[in-house]
Amino acid sequence: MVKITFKMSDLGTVEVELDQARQLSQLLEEIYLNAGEKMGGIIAVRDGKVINFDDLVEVDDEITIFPALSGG
Amino acid sequence: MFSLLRINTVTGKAEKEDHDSLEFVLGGRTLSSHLVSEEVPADCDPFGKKSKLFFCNGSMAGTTVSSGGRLSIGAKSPLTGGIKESNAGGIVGMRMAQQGLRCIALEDAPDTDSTWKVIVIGKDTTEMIDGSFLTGKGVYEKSDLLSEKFGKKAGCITIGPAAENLLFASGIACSDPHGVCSRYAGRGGLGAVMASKKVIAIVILDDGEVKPEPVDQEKFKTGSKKIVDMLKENPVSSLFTKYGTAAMVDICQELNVLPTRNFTQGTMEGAEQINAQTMYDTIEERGGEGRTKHACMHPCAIMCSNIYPDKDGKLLCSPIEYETMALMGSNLCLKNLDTIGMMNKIANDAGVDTLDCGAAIGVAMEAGLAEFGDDQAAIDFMNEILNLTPLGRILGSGCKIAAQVLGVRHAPHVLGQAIPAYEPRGTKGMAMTYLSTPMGADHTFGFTLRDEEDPTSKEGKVELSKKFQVIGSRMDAMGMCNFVRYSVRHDMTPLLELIKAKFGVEVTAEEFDNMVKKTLRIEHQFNRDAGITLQDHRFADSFYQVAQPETGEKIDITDEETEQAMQW
Repeated sequence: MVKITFKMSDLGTVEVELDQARQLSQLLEEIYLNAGEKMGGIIAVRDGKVINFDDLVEVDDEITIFPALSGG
Repeated sequence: MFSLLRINTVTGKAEKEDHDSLEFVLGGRTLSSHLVSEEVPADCDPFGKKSKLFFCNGSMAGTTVSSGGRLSIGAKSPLTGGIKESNAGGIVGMRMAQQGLRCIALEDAPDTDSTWKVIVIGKDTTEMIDGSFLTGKGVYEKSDLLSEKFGKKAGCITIGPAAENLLFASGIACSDPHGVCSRYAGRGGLGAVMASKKVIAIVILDDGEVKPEPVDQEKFKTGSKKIVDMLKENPVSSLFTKYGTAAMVDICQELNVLPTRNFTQGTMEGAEQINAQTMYDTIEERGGEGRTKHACMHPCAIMCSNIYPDKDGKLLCSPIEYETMALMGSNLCLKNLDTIGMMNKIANDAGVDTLDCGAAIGVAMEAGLAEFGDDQAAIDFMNEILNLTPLGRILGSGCKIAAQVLGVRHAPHVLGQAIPAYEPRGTKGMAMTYLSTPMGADHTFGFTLRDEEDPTSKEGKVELSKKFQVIGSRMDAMGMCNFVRYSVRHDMTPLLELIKAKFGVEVTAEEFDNMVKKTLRIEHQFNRDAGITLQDHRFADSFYQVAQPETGEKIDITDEETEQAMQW
């Protein structure tokens, strides 16, 4: 079970059953489609490291998605 | 033609000059760094007669273009010993434009026992009047007195008691749209430079009659609307509207780079107590004068600012930014937004940089002057600065001096300027930026964090930092808010078309970036001429020797790599 937590978003925490690793972009697309809403520019973090859209998400991963903001 | 108003602070003589170079078209940091580089001897005393202080608005100041009213302030910094550009929001840039001014230059320096002056700039005259009615007062009181005397709509620039006493962490406060001097060009000790000229305030009256008259009115109107549309459609900008920069607390905690316990850790247990959601919920719950979605300048479609209220709904502080939440919060192990708000309010009143003073208090806590996590002690330290006690003067001189006086080796600074709110051992891209900027540690100069695939590795970080040094500097280069960059990061055309429609000057994207790189070059050259060496572009030795607990990382960036990131 992949657990994806969307911070500062109404999407909240979403759990997705996976048989095999999938690209983050595909996973997000599916979640956005089901929820009927989308989070724009994002930073995806797994184990303290940023992952990209084309990175593979493994079946037991926990991923946190943040809005891609910066300090000023 | 663009006007530069030179004011001799000894004689009071004011003279206008007209210029039409590209530096004056763009304004902002392009112009302020150009003027510092051309007119200030790099080896001069920042407080001496040869030192000058420049206030420059940007190319879109005074127009309908969103977020184009930043005021760029440039001089030689007493804190870093090098060139300094610090910019602020507010209405001063707009008022200058309405008076037909691109730049105000303060020149010369009176004797130290001269009386304080207020410079009043109106459509007919510029005069220096007695400023003793402001002397020794906090910035909030100064702001009220200036509003009383010159009206709430005047664009005012003032300094706090810290600057009056030449403390190196003092900033310059500018009027916000409500007439309160709460918008800070906080970094680098520029408040003290203004004080060395015995100028306690500058007032730009609301009687300016110069209207923005674009060469191509229709294209300018369309282009201006396009910027608003882009900002509103951009998902990043719209989240700024709701949460502001405070959203970075969670991101930095997750990435192990939230400065904690005087930059010895990158995470703080309980960080959620000071995060964006808690701040948003607190502001909503308390109501009253509290606001999210608050604009620091007009017009602005982003509105990332806030008004943080106290328990009774009365204004406690506006704004509270992420950098302050980290340096005055997690860095001191404080988990109470009210404490951070109170410290920020006192900093604004004293007229000091929240980053350098937060870092200095972290150093004081490490020295054992108080326990980390002691809310009251942190507030007391800020009051020491406001009241100019001997300890307060040390803390108000920034973290480098505080560390030297208090015997703390782990001093979080580069070139004497406190490290902003990203633990450098956990983000080598930001570390590279801190090390290689001409301004001392500065996050806005090359914000790599969200684009680092592996933050703890230094591989590829020279190139990444350089890429974002250009992207980050583009907005400063023409006086736009840094957060507009999200909408034009891949294509500057919308802003370049506005420059063409406004002035009839065609600047290609390549020419614009060349101008940005030229600015970086002259800033580094100024520093070399001032005697700053590559060896000064280092963190304290402890960052190289002691691993950050969460990542096991030390700073492993060499002088050679830093030098590469400084090549333009």
